[in-house]
Amino acid sequence: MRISSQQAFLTGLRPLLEGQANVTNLQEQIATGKRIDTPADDPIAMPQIIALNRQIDQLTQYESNINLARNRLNLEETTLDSIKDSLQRVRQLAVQAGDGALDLDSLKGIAVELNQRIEELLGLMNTRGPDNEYIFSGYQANTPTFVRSPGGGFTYQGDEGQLFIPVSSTLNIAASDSGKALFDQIAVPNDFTVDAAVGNTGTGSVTTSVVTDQNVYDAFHPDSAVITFSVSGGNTTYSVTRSPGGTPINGGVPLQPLTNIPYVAGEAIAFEGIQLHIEGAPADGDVFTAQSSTPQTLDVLSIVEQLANGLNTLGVGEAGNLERGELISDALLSLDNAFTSVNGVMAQLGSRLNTLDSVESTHQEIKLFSRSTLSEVEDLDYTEAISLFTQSNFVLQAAQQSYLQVNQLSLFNFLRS
Amino acid sequence: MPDLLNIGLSGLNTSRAGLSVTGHNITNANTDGYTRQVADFGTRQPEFQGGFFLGSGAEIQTIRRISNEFLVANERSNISVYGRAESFTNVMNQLDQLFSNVSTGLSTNLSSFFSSLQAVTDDPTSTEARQVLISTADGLSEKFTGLQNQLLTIRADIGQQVEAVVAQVSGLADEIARLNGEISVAINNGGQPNDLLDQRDQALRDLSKLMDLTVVDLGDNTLSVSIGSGQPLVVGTETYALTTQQSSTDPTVKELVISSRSGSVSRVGSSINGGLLGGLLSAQFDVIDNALNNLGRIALGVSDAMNTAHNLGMDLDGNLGGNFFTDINNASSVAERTIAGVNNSLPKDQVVAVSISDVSQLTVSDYQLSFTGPNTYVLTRISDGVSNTALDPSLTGTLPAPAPGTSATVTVDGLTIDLTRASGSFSTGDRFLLQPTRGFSNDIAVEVRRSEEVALASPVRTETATTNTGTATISAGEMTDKSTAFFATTPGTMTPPVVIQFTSATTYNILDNTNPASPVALVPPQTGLAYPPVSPNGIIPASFGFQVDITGTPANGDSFTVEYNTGGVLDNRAGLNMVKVQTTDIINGGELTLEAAYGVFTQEVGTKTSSSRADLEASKTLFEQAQAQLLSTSGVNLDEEAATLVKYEQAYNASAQVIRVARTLFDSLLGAFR
Repeated sequence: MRISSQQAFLTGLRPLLEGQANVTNLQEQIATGKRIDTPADDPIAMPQIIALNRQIDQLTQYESNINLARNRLNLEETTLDSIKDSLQRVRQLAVQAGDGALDLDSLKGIAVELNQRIEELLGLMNTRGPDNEYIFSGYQANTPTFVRSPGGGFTYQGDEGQLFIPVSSTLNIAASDSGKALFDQIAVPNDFTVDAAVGNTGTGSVTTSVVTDQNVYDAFHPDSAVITFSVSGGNTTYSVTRSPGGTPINGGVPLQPLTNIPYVAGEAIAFEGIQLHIEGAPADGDVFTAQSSTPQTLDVLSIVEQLANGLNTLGVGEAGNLERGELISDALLSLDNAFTSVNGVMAQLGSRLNTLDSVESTHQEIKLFSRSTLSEVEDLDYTEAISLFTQSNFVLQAAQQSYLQVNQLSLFNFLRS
Repeated sequence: MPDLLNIGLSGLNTSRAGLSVTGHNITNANTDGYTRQVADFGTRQPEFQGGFFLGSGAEIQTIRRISNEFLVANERSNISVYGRAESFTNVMNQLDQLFSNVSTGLSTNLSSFFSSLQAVTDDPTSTEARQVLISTADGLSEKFTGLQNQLLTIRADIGQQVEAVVAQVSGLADEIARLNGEISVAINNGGQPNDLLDQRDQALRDLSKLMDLTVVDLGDNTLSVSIGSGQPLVVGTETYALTTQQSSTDPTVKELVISSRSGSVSRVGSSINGGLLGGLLSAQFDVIDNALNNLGRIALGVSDAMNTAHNLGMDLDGNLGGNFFTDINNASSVAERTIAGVNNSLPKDQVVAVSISDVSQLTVSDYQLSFTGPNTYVLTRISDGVSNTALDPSLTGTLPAPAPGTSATVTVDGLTIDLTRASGSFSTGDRFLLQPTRGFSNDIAVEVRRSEEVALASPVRTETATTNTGTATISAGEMTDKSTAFFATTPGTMTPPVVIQFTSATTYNILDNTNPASPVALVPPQTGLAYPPVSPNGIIPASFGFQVDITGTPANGDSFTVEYNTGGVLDNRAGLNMVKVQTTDIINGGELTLEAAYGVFTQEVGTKTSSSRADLEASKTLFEQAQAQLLSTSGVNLDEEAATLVKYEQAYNASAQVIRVARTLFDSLLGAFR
């Protein structure tokens, strides 16, 4: 084949240029450590790289979400722990107040400490988070959780809202608990009120009425008891029947149906875990009803406040002691309910924190896997790259040398005379 | 008897001519387009003398170009292919850089936007997190705009290159026509104008680098050159002007036209495939426009999904959320989606408004709407050329006959197209180019400016009455439509708040709870409703704009309230819905997430780039082979020329010897008489 001089020049030059481009490209890959710089370097791998990077970013975000949720839950757990400690002390004080040997001053002393505990509890329930948000106010985090109501008692000002934080693509973890469920809706023991019927004509009136055995009364609840007096021949007797139903109720010691029991003014009438005293002279046909209240709930602070107020105001004597006894036993039962409520949420906190840990470790594993996949896809295989680089260098050098030698060949060199 | 002196002299002449041709070859060894020449010698007319023909020396017969028309044409067509690959790859390389993974691409911004959205959702009361969200959202919208601008810059750059190429084409066409004339004259005068022929071939070579050509020998030593689908550019000594003019369908682009002899112009745009011009045109329409549409569709997806969720939220000030990004159907975006044809009928009061009703159904194609009669139209999806019922069964091609100013609506591919004309019907020949996704990446901006305006909370909340005795629980409630009377009557409230009161375990009333002490019936009343215990149970009528879910067994008298979430700052329910935007498949018929759509698009760019690079390599190799074949025949070999030089030098010397011998003979003859 005939070769023109220009062709010989171009044929020599092309491998030089291509070799240089090749060496430069490999050098760039070696310098960056990346096999892929732009989508064109490997179009198939590019969406994979984007997807993997996105997944890694998302997992990193979930990890930071998990940390945030954990911080919130830890703050809540610590606060609830302190609240439990405080309630424990309140319980001790209540038990202490139940010691019949204490005089009124000692009881008032206990009430003073109880009031301090109320302040402490109020402070804890109004705990604020890192952004100054009230953590137990539900959605309404700018509103204090509990405030004192005018005229006594406390009001929950938040709502039932709960903050959920996404910790994986499918799982949102509750990162807060509303104070309503925790502190505001504590069931208090069943109670009753004694009403004199409107048509009563005698002078009989109720002095004290207390629950003496909550378990027995709870079994009776929500039925009511109707005490009907009859005066026959100067003897006043009474009968107690169940409402609804009208069946006689057993009571007294020994246990007997309370039918036509002789009435002694001021003597206790006891049945179904309750005890009441009627003074004066009821007329024939006078009726008193021990009316069961509907189940009540109260907030923790008011429960303690009622205990403190009771200890402050109840006097001495049989009636006072009876009512104090009921007050303290009610308080203890209510406090138990409060503990149950707090403990229930704390158990949930524990399980949420466990979930966070396990989700986090799953995320870390997936992230590790994604990282290694990403590295396989986009990172350079140095062994291969460097051996290619050496080879390309060698080829380029050879091309340069042969180019020079070939171009020195010319017939004109021999025509010099 | 022939004169030996003359014979010697003819030898000197031919040798000198040979030396000249060789010298010409040597000196033009590096001239582009030079074809080596060879001097052909022949014997002169012999003399008949004494029954013999006696030779009378040599003469030059021709000076030939060593050329091969097939090889020349072959090189030309390969140059066209190579030129196309070169300009196309050039554009692709720019795109490839633009959409590569690092800093310039969109994925980093999408990712950091969604990360900060997550962060603010985790911590809805944090002002810092809210500000970070707004600034990453700004970053995202600026990236959209920036990419759009860069694409438009590349597009404008292509436009300028096209203009430059067109100018070069005119120059080359003129040169070819001039050379046609000169060559024709020279040949008619009996000569072979080798160097002019070289120049013409070179001009054709240069022209074929710009566009693909059809070259025909007209038989009178002139050539005709036609381009595209056969439009003549040069015929003999005449040229036809190739120019650009504003496109009649899309005034934003220029199209190529060639003027005919009669002065009428014809479009050649899409029929030019080869050369730099073919590559540029193809890059502009197939690549840049497609990239703009892809980018616009992702921007529409981000905007629409975020706005939908954000509109159902409540901000830190207790106001209902508005649009987070620009509304996808804002007036100016809608206006720029339609380009009316330049030649549409007067008065130009036709309004074709394209709004987007379903982002997930959007394609990245443009559409062509043309009227074939007052009420008949053809709507074509440009990407695949499918139109009317084949495109969507609802596209019958006929609109109801309108009263002036009334509008007809057609829907296709997630678009709602409103057609109105104040003066009545549309006219035959009215054309509209619809570009639903083209411009939005330039329009997208963040509407939320103050950090408090980020609406992460839900506007409704539910409460369980403390007196409830049943086991039923109520969900936190969700917002479905903020335009209902409940929320539209008085901003920042729910008018009226409602209470759901159970009248038995299976029936309930929904009452106006404005006065919680004595709820009253709503207007119209919602009483005696049946409680379906299967969740989700749609407790609230859909028309109310909010919904709750009640599970468990309610007791008679149990009640739940639903009210405005006043003060609800530690609430992220709307935020959780916004976070879902990242992982929801909202693009391409619900197949791709936003980020996946971007990934697929970059893959497309990458594939096109790498295949265009492969094309470039291949066409370069083919071109080099064609060039080598031609050079192998027509190129100058200096060694060969050196040998030829020696050959002619020797012949010259020998001819001189012949003259010396002739002189010697003559001297001998003279000497005989001395």
